[in-house]
Amino acid sequence: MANETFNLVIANPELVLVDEEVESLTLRSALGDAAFLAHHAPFVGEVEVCLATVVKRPGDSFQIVIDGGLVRAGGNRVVVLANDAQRASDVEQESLRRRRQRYEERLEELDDAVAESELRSLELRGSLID
Amino acid sequence: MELIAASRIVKAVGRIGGARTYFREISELTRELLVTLPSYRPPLSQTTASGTTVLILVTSDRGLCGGYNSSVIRAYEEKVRQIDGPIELIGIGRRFENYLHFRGTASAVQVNGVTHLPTLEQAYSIIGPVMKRVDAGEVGNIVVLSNRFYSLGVQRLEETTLVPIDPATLVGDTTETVAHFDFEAEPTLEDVIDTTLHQLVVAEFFGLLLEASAAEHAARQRAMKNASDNATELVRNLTRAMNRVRQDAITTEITEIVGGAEALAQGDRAMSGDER
Repeated sequence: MANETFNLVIANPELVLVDEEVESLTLRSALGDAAFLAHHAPFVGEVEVCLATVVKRPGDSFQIVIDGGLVRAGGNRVVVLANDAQRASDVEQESLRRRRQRYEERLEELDDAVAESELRSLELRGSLID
Repeated sequence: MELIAASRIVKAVGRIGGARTYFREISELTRELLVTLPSYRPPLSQTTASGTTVLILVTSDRGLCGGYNSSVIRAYEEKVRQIDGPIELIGIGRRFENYLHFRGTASAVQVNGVTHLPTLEQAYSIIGPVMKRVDAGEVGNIVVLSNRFYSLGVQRLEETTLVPIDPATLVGDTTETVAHFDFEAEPTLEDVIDTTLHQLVVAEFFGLLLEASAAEHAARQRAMKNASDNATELVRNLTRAMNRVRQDAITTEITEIVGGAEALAQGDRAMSGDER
């Protein structure tokens, strides 16, 4: 028997990356790893820079890099409002190199929290390519 | 240029649609969180009489877009007269930079190359430092003067107050009960509310940049269409004038030839009469 599903929306201020029925979502919230299944209790929390895993059905899953943001669950729906997000399969060497270069150029003007978050994001993306 | 602007409008409008989901969701979430915790008064939603007003002006980098830039500049001149306290300017677009340069002054921050194709990174880099100063209590208000895109035919200059946030303007149904929004929160509800409010400001600002971009392309398309129409009219009038002059010349020439021929014929007739 198929597991129950819920509506998952992952969006950043620019576009909607995911809007579909899925079985589960795993990501890193402010207090540790969090998994969401169908009919999750009403919840709202901050999301850390992480590699989220989305399982659409057994054997069919994909990963998304989330650069921090918010997650909200309720009414058999989970919405991730990411500061920025990118499908792991879309991460590629050239754009990562450009992003790293921009980060290095702007490092002086960034405050510590933003710089640390961006560095984690770069490392995470780098680990997907290596 | 009209066709180029038209193709850019399509892309710009598509991007506004893409950004709308995030804005709607974060706006709804913020409203629900504020309803859940009515006792909490987040700093970003409170009006502060003191503190600098940051005025962000969104103009284009290039001209040929009708009254798009002049409307922003007019609104800026009026706004400056209304504000009592200290003002700090953030100019977006070369047109505003040129205007201030002409006046012998400059913005505290000037960013060019944005409205053609605004990116999320640009939005963060402009609004991020200002938000930090809002948190530190140095800045009390953030006001944006920009053109909003309603349709291909309608774009309006509007003033948007990003900070302080007015909870009454948030998206959603305000009749829902508090019990419905009984959230479990991580780390705390107050922290999450502050984060959502910050993200809401970023999303709204990015949305304003996208709308300003679409409005610029629409204004440019209209300006170029008017220019093309005027040029077509001019060509028609000039062609008409040219034909008239040419016809006059032909008529004069024919009249002269006919007159000459008639004179010759009369001469011939006179000569043959003398011979007789």
